[in-house]
Amino acid sequence: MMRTKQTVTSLVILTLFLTAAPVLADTAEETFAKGETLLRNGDFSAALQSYATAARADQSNPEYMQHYTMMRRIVDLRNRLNTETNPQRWEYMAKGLRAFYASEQIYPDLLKLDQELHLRLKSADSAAMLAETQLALDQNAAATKTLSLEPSEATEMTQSLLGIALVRCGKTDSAKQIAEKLSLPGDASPSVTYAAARLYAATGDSARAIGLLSACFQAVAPSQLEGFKSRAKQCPEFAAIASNPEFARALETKSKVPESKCSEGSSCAGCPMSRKCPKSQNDRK
Amino acid sequence: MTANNTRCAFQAGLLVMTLTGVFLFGTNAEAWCPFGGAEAIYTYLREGNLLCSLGVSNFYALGAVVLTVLLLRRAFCGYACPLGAISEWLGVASRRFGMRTLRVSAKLDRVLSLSKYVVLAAILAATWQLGELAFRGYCPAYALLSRHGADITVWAYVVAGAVAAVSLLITMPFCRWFCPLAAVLNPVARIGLARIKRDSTSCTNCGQCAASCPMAIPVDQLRQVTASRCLACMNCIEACPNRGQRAIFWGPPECLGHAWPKATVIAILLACSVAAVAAAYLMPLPAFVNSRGAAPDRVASFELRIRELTCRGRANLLVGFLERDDIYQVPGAGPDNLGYYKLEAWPDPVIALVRITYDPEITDEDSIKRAITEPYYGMAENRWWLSPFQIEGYTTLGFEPENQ
Repeated sequence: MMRTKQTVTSLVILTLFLTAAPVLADTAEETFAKGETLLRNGDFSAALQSYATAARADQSNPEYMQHYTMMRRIVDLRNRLNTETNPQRWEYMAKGLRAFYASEQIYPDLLKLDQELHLRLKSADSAAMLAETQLALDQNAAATKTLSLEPSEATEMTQSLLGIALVRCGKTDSAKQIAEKLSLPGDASPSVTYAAARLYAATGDSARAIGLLSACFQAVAPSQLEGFKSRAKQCPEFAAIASNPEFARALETKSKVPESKCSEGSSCAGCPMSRKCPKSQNDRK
Repeated sequence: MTANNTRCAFQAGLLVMTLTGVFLFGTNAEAWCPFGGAEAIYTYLREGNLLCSLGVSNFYALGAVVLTVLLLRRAFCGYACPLGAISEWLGVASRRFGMRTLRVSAKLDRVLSLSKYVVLAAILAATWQLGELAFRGYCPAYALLSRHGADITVWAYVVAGAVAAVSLLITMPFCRWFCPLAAVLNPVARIGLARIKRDSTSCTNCGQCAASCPMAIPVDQLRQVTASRCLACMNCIEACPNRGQRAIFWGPPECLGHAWPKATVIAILLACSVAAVAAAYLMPLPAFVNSRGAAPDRVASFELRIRELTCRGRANLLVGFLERDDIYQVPGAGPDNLGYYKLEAWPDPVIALVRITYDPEITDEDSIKRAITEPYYGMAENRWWLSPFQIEGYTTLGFEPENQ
């Protein structure tokens, strides 16, 4: 009798365990999504654990493994950054981290890192990076202060961002003066052209803003075009001209430059840079 | 069964086999195109890697075709080329339906025949300059055998349509005047062994042989046909009213015998095809080779099976990861430290084989595997490169971040 009771109890427990296990255990997809949320909240270690669990649960999904290795690298860089004594290596690591924070829009960490980068590098580029983050966080007065550089140090990028910050601080006339004086070189990078487009949009010169936005999209490599367009759609400076049909047309602009590196597609057929592939790889070395 | 029927059946059989392979089994016909071998040879010799979509099988196919040309002249074109077969059948069909075949004067024919050398020179110059298959976008054979995916252009269909349309009016125009493979084979065909021979004592000079020749060779005016464009189609023999008396026959040069059985053509073509396929499987040369530095006295090597190493572009990306300059830099690699390594790869849509030879004094297998799989930050582009490569049987899951 006793044995029967024990057997029945064991069976009940086992059944409960077997039926509850799939309910309790997250799927790889859910664990991965949890990792994404943790990352957005800046909990890097927990995000790493979630990505690892997802990658372990579904080893056939290369995306999980890629996110895991990326996250592990980021955690590694964060750990090493504070103890790195070689300035060049520190800059490499900081910029690598910055690129990641910016792409994932992890602004608290991005702001802290940009402040440290600017403190160490004290260049127009580092000022522009910090100011961009401050603008993204709506710290417009701080951005104006960051961009108050000597005229000899100012660049098209810092001037454009300064103009945007001034508009946001209500100093539109000062911003318009900057916009009038701004002159972009013919070989301006897409980022500089984009910042200038934002400035003209902010100061009400929508025709110029849209023209520069189209020029920017044409100069961006195909693999990064969607990222730029998505930024433009969310950018507060372009909100006022978002209903303009010309703006919608600018968003349809196609890239006119070849990919600078292998676009990592499944085949080289139709790859815009396949003819330049070996040279391109050599450039990277 | 006449020789012509046998040839026609052989052509049809090969075409059906090729189309079945391409459309039912997804075989990459391009990897067996002999002209692909001619296009790729310069890049392979210079850089050690093949143009996109090609394999070393293209070299073996080219070698086999050259061998058949040495023995049989351009029998490949008359028996095995799918484009030649379709072009020829269209001509035959148009005549059956009463359409008149346009005759081109011998002088114009000679001038037009030179076009194929211009086409060949232009294709090779463009291909070698650009490092990609410049002709593929215009190749009528590719329009037929490409599975009609994203990599085919409308121009290939336009050229294929034009070839088909003109074939209704003029016998095998593309093969005679514009085919770049014919331009590659012609110089070899000139010294080809087998030939059509005419016995002037029993020949009645009726001219039927010349009239039946698809390549417009004046057979009736020659004792031996040594023209490089002879397809060994035997149409001239079939057309001869005196063939019973051997007024015209096919065979080797006089010093090697009198006549050969016509089936020899098919036997040699089959043997060479089998040899090409066997060579590709038994001697698989790497399709991508990259090395740097001088090999030390003692080297070590290992093989990896890697997913997502699908093409030459991806193989170049793999080189980029091997030559990274961050913490996962392979000791001895990187721009400042030219340590030795050699990469041999066989890119594949599913799983690629990679052989890496390295200097064991300065690095090891694990460092190389980590360099291949870890993400890389390119400061110049301000961009992270995630490794798409997965090494079979190797995972970094469980590796903890350092200093955590």
